[in-house]
Amino acid sequence: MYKAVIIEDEHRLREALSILLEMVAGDAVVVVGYAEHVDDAVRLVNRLKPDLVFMDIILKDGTGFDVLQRLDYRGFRLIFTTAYEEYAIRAFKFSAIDYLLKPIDPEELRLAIGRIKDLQEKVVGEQQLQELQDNLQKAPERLVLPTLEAMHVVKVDEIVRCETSGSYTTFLLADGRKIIVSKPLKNYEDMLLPPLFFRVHQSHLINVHYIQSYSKEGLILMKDKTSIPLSRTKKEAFFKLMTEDGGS
Amino acid sequence: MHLFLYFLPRCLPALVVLGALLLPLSAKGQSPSTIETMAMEGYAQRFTDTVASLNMQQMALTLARQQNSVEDKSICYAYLALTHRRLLHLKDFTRYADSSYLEAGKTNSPRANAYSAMAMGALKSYIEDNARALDYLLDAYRLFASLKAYDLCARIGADISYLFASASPSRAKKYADEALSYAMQTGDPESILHARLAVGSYLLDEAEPDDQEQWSEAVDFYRHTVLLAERDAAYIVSKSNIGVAYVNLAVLYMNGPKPIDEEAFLFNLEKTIEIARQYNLKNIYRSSIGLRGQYFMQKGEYTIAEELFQEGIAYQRSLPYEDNAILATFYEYLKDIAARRGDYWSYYRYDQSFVEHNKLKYDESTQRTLQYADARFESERQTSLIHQLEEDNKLQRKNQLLGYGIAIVLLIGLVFMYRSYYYRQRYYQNREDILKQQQSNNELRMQLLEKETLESLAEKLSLERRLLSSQMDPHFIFNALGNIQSMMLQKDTAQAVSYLGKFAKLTRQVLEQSRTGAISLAAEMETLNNYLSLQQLRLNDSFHYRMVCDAGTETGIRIPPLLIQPFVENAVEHGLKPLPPAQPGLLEIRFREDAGEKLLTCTITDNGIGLAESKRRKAHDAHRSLSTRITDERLSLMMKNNPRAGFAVHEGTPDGPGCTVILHIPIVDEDV
Repeated sequence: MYKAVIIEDEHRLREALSILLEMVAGDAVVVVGYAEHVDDAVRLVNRLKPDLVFMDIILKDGTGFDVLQRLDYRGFRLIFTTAYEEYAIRAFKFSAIDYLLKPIDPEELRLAIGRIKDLQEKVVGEQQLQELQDNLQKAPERLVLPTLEAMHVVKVDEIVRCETSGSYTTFLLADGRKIIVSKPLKNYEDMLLPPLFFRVHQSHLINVHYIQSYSKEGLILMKDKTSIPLSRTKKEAFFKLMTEDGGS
Repeated sequence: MHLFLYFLPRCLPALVVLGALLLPLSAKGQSPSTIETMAMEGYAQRFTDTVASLNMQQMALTLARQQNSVEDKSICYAYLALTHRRLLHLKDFTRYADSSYLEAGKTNSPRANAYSAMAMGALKSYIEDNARALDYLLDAYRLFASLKAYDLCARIGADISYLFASASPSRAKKYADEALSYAMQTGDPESILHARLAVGSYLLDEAEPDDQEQWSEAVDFYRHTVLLAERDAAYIVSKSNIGVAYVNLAVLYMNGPKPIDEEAFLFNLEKTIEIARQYNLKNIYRSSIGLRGQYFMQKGEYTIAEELFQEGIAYQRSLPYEDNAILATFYEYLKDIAARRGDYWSYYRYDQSFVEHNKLKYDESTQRTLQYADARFESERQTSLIHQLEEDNKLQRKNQLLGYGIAIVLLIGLVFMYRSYYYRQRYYQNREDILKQQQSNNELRMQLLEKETLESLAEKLSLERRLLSSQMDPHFIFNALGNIQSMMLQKDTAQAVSYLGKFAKLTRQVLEQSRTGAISLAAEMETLNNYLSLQQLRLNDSFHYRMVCDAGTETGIRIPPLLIQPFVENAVEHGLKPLPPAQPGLLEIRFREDAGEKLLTCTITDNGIGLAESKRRKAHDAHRSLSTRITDERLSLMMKNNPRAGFAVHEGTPDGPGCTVILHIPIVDEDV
């Protein structure tokens, strides 16, 4: 059984989450406590040392991020819950931190619990939290890529290109490293946006700074000597982007 | 070179996939039920007699309902869905596919699940949602394989291969090969030809003219395919697949190593035309004209090529159905020819037609997406109602369930309101992109009058879009939905229904008011009342509020809508909500009319934690000021007419700590 703690300042939403947890994971998760203020939350987590924390962003007297900063104990898996905080969701995505949208979909909740069961290591990494802090403060410069063996932190401007094969995405970096993540390219397309990144093809997202040359026929030669096809439907937008950019 | 590769791979897979629908469906291996056989036979008649086909399938469905067989119902729905796909009835297609999926979900029957996944896959592929289409089709493929229904495996495998074609050539190859081996097991010429075309499609995609070996392999494969097709022509229902095989062979020769084998190319092209004439295959005939045009273009004989493309366009226009995609492609070739000849007058003319058809093509696909959203809405509403009624009979807890029913329908309604809003936004976004594209061609058109009309259109579009954008804070909406969810989970039906009623009323008021230029003060006060009582429910009555009109203030005066609510929201969310439970919150909204200045002064006071404390606590709160900023912009626009319009925020209230907001709102004349 996982011990779970719910940090949420609205009593109805808190009760909804505990009922849903009972429904979808009653045999795996037990709620051992809840808090609605920053101070209470810090004390509660330090005292109970839970395996799992559901964290709301806006609390009565502060935010969930304040709680995280002040915790001594961090040996738990973390799932944020939010109704609508676009800036925070973007930061979660870049930091590869799990989150659920309210009202919570039982199926999403079940999947999130499933992901926890899959992972042996249940600690919220110090580095990951640091990334989250940074990504909340300003436009994200680094991206956390979770793989089976490790959490890779890569600089956004060192990503040369991404290539998809089915539900996997391969990141090719400027130093020649390759990182394969088991998420579809679609997932990253929303994060790596123009004008720096451009989806030139169904299977390719490229960083325009690493373009060596391109031809009107629809082939793009990258600085790492690979050539990427430019799909017919993207042509117009791509040429426009390149000319606006000063045509590097 | 690239030009020649565009045309065919783009239109032929579509033809072949269409051809796939002509294959008779039957699941051998396990013996099908009587009802299934009946539905299958009805389905097989869809070309010869649509009415009889639909009648027979409906009869099968009625039988399945009488016998209360969930499995058969699901299968009947799947056949009906596929029949309506062929009739291009998106609404019925969606409804039946959904019903099939819903029924299949109630049973463990692999048959029902396979059929429903096939229908859903066909639906997703029809609306070009390829990722989902693949999910469903792969499911169906796996299930039919375990049921040993090899003819269906062959058919679905080929479709999967086409869907993988651009994303993953290796998987396209894998599934095409598997489809062919399944087809060989059935021995059915129809299935074999269909699967061979899937294999041929990836060979065609892979065949580089420089790679002699690969190219010859593709040619040999196609030659064998056309031989088989000619031999078994009598047993093949989908004659267009025979035509496709010849076209592809001709394309291979045209793209072959230089100098190309003109004789073989022309021979196969002639065969294509012959087959198109023999079986009256309009699409194949059209493709052959296009292909011939490309051939002459390649040879540099532009006059002949131009005539051919024009012939193709005239032919397409003579057909009873529109196909803007193909017209756009033909005009693009004509543009290219004109450019190569340096004939810029023609280039401009062709470009105009190209832009027109390209836009229509896009509009059609948007239309389809919108239609699909509507159809989904309708079908989900129906299925949820049916579902609800069934439950009702079983359980006789009518009142409670009816409450849930209304809640579900309204929630779905809200979700689709959002969805259709999102599609509309995207639609306008894309319309603007097209406008921009047209403007980039303006160097040629500068002298023409068009520019003016374009500009006015763009202005109108952006205005419409602004009007569409909702005034409600998404955070509030989702929080309200979360609260309703919680009440339902706690089985507090009375509370949930009352909350939902208020929420629906507020949503309606905001929607209506955001479309009008001015509303009465009484209406604004009602909206605020509604909003505040929702917030009280949500926050467990932790605060009280009162609304006061000073003496002499007429509630009939008209003001711009929805200016006050964002400030009230701030007072509740950031002032009152963080108060400790022991301290009761109090909110006051006071209105005073200044008839001489044509101004309404609205004073909002709260005894909450105050501005400084709120700022200290919420370092990250970026979205918070957005709604007040929009209000600020609106008020400053109004200042043009009334210089005293505006607002001010102060720390503290006359009675102690808290926050005070003073709004000066211009009173609008009656006739505005």
